[in-house]
Amino acid sequence: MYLVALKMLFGDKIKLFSLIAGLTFSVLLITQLGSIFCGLMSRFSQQIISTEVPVWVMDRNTEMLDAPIPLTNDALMRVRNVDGVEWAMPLANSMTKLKLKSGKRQTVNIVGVDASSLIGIPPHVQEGDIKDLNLPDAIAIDKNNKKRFGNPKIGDIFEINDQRAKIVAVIDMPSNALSAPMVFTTYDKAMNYIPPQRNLLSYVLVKPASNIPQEEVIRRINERTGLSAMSQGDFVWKTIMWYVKNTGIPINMGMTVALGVIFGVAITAQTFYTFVVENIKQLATLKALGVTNSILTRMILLQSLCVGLIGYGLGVGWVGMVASTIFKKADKLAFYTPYQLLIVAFIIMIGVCLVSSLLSIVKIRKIEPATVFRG
Amino acid sequence: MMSDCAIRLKGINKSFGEKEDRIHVLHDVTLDVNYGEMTLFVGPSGCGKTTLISIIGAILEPDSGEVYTLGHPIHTMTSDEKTEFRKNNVGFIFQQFNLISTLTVQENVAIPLLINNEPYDLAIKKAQEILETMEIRDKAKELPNKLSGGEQQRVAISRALIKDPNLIICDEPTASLDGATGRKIVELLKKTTASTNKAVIIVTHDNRIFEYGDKMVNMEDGKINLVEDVRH
Repeated sequence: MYLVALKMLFGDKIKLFSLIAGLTFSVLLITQLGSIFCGLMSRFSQQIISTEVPVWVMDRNTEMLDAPIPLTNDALMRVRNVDGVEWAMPLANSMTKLKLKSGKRQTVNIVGVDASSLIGIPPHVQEGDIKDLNLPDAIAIDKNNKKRFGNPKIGDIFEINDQRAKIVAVIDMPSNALSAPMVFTTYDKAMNYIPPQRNLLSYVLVKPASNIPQEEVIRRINERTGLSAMSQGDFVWKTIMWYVKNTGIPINMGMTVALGVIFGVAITAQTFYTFVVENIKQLATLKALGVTNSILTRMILLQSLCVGLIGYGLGVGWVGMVASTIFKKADKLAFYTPYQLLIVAFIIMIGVCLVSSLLSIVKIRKIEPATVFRG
Repeated sequence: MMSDCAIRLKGINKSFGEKEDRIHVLHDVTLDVNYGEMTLFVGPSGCGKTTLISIIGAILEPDSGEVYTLGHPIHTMTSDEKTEFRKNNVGFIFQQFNLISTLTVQENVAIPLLINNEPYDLAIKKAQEILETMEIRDKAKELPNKLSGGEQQRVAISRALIKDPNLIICDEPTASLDGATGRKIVELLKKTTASTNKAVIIVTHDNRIFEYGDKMVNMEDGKINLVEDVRH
């Protein structure tokens, strides 16, 4: 009878199209907006991801990457003295103004790192040589914001806080969500570029010794330094959660996703219900011929899940093939589709199908087989 | 099991609606129909013929009374038991054919076998065989709406007969057909009652087919007025 159910479904092309279109659009909205949301969230923590450092140490009251509470200068030594720390490097993160060749000012995010190791700078270099950062006045910029720097070339010179700054490298890193472009330099030069303040150290970047579990090193740092250490993943998550809790982004995105779900349920439920009502005589005939309510219910669920899967495939396929290509080419819009999002979209789609089928199932169970004799 | 009685009705009452809108459709109907008989139910519209065959066919509950169809006490059965009973024992033929428009002719005919979980290919093969005897084998892969009324009714009869049920219930089977086709259809049904363990019940207004009946049940206002033996 399941084959009969599928033939009944595929035989009515117009309703099949309506059902698939409704579900496809619903899945499309959920997956595309979800991908934009995930892309945006990952950009908020892109600097943490790009540096590829396993453990970040910060003030206990630091809530997220872009709002570090400065550490005192002895913090670096305290961390280095903890057993199990293979190395610990300073990182300064602060905003300042950069004077372009045109004379205009551009707010930039200065990142100062250890001069010998350059740990804290994303490792992929698009142009120039990163080792040249140790030259006087040397800076590196991120490739995503070259245009905002006036498309400079290697060797071009800017002014930051009345200090000379010469571009020696362009860093290849994914865009971050901040409006300010990134400028990388060594820690000592960053002290000159960043306006004077009592403490400059924002974070201590740590690699645990290979023979000690990372969690143990984190625990020791937390216990012995009075600072807060966490894994790269935890800091990414903490930063994302800060944006989730303190900005309207998730609510705005969530409302649109909810709209997609409601749209999917409404279209699918209404079309299914119409499908059942218009086929009531045929369904009553099946009942009269000996099909039980239980089998009819399963037939409806099968039809529902079948169109759901087609809608899911088309929706996700659209996002995967078309949308991501367009968005990635544009390179300005955040777009990231983790597999978890696909699982969530699938679960929502199954839910939409089940809820949509409910009305029809109730109707079918109430059909009197005696309807078959009515004219 | 009553040996010669295919259907026994005792004091059947049925009404529809609530309170002042309540309409009594059947009043204390009592009737016996024997195996090997083609019984015609006749009477004006609204006299309760269709309600009565619905009760006999286990698709409608009587308010009171006893119904024994093929020896089974229908009035005591649960809804699921009735569904199972219909599946195994009753073939239905409807005035409007009630074929499933998105299935081919052969698939429509095979439905009773598919309901019984017979393999699809085997069910289709059996459907093609019965369509052969109905002389519409060449239409097996067509959709029902491509067929004439007579052809559709032959498909509906094929569907009703494919499981060789002991009881066939027909509601105005010739109403949409021309005289010649109608007679052909009834002759086919008549052949079915040649077997001693089968019975055919037909609700009809079509006096062209009266000559084929063995028994005629005249109804009026929810009561049986007359039961005639009309064997020729």
